[in-house]
Amino acid sequence: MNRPMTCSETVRRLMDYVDNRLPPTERRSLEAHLIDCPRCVEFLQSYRVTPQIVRRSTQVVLSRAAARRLHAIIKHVLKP
Amino acid sequence: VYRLTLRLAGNVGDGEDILQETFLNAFNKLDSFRGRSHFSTWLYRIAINTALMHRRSSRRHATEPLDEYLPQFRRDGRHKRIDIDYSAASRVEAVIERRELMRLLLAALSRLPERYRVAVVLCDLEEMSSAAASVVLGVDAATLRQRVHRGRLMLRGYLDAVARGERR
Repeated sequence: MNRPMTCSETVRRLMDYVDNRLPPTERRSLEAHLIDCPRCVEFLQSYRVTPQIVRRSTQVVLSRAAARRLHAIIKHVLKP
Repeated sequence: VYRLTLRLAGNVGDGEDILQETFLNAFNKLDSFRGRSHFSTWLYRIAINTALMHRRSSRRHATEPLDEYLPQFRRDGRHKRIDIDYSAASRVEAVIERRELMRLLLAALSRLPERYRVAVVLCDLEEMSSAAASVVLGVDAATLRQRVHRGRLMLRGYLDAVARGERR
């Protein structure tokens, strides 16, 4: 692909782009599109940070009460 | 394992129930562990199956899918909406209180179609390698990547809407 990509072509390839898995010609076409499309630049930035935000925001530890219940179950199951 | 079950369940109560069921199932199936995969891979597979069974048998699950947050394009391939700020998602943590964001995102994860949810949870949230996640889910790497990409697009759009105050 020698021409710059469209927005939909760009979005379709974003995962391969951020993982550095695009063939060089496609990478050039995608980057040529980014130069002219601030929407896709914004989209790319937010696409890139989405997994980090979701990961950070759902980082939790088991409550003490739940850990105690689980421990009791394991003890019961292991009882000879 | 709890983090995994919580993210698959979408709420703390179900996440804890699934955790307990996972360990009970694992004990019952311990004889079937042949050592052909890592123990953690085997346990993850049990946790995922337990979570999916739990969800299917539960009446309490979100029915409103996240498809509406996928990007839309005009016939010429350009973004359909040029009136919105596509970078809003990047700032969501500054706009929404941490606890609330966690509640919203757990609920959003549970609204992802099952195949996307599991792929996103394993690859993006548990940071499992594509190769390991492919083994756990029994799908090829290309299919897995496609599912992660689509799930990520839905979550990105959802975060955008949350940050703009259009969705809670």
